[in-house]
Amino acid sequence: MKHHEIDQYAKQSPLCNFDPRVKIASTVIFIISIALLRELTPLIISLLFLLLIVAASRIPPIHIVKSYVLALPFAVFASLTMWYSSGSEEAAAMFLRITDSVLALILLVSTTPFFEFLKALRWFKVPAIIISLLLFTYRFIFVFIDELERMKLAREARGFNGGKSLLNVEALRTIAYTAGMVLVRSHSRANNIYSALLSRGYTGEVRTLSHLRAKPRDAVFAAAFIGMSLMSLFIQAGVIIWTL
Amino acid sequence: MHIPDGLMAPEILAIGWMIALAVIAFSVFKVNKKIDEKTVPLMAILAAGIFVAQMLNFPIFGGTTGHLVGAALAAVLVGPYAAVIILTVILVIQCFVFGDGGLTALGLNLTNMAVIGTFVAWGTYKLFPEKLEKVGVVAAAWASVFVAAFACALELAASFSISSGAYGIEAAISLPSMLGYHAVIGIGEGIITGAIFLYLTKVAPEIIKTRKPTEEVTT
Repeated sequence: MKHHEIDQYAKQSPLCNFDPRVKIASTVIFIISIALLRELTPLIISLLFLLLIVAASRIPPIHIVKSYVLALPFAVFASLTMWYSSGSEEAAAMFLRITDSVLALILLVSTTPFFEFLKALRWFKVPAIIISLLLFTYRFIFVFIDELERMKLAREARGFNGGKSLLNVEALRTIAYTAGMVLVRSHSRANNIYSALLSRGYTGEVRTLSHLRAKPRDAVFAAAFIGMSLMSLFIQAGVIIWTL
Repeated sequence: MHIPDGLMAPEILAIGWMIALAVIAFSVFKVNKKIDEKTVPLMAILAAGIFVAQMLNFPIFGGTTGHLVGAALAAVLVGPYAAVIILTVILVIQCFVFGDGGLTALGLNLTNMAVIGTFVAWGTYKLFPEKLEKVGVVAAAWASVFVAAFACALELAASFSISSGAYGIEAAISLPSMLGYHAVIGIGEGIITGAIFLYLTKVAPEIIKTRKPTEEVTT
């Protein structure tokens, strides 16, 4: 599988041993506090805090940069228009706010295996149908990506070059047929997979061998993130006077 | 159209979460009511299929590309409530696995793409008589992308005005740029969705759950 690297770091980083519930809750609180920040000082301190954690997490920087680039179009566009309409300080705050929250989210997603997420989400009372759907979908995605890669290779071998514009009917037809074929193949696969599941006693409940247990170090994790969030908000409110 | 964290005003984020959770809860209730045990793997397959189909870029012009959202495709294949759940699953995975779209902004992303995208597509699709079904699919796909982008631009503008310029993007910039760009993206979405639908009616009509069984083509 070509895309196996998607949650590769989720199993190597020292951060992956923390309880996923604690990680999700702390990150959510942290990102909410970032969303409330308008001043530069707390945003810069939060950024330094995150960079420190990133360094400790031992996630390869290239992986972080790749995920960060996904959010860049919105961040750049929004900051530029903000510069024009509100001024440079608001623009910088906007850019830092997006950067901080994107970094925090990347930290969370690249150090938490997807199945840990599902367990935590179940604990947070997300409906069972959504959890099993997430589980199945996640599993099937990799199968289809492989399928798609094979079809892409075959397409290119026959001379397909992606087309140049929306007016290229042939290119659009090929793309649509590829997408349609992914769906047809997946549909016939669904029945097989479902029969296989039934024959192993699947009833719709997902059971795992390991159970979630919060440890003292999870309290340290939560304290660091929530402490940082509170500090940022206090700095903004003027309770803590900070001179850089 | 995946909104990152930190862009929108907190009030708008909260409203997004409320709308998304209410509609998703209602859709889960609706789907749960008539669910048979085979539905979950089938919906998951569609979700994964649309997720992967989203990775297919189509050319727009001058080297830029767009990609499928898939709300209209899901809606015409399995109906609006199941489609809301399918799109929700896709967006949650994009957020939690790839960090694409923010965590606090997930509510808004769900509202725009899973809720508005799906119901606009379904409403548009239903406007057309059965004879013009294929035109309806294309129109539904275009409308779902365009209206979702319109909602996104309005949220940006609302964030800007209620925070007196600390969040969001001014309406004078957000509306024309989002609408202009997505009017074109929507054409790609329309053509591709229409072609996939046509392909499925020919090759695998049993996938289209919104049709009456009597209409199935025998091969």
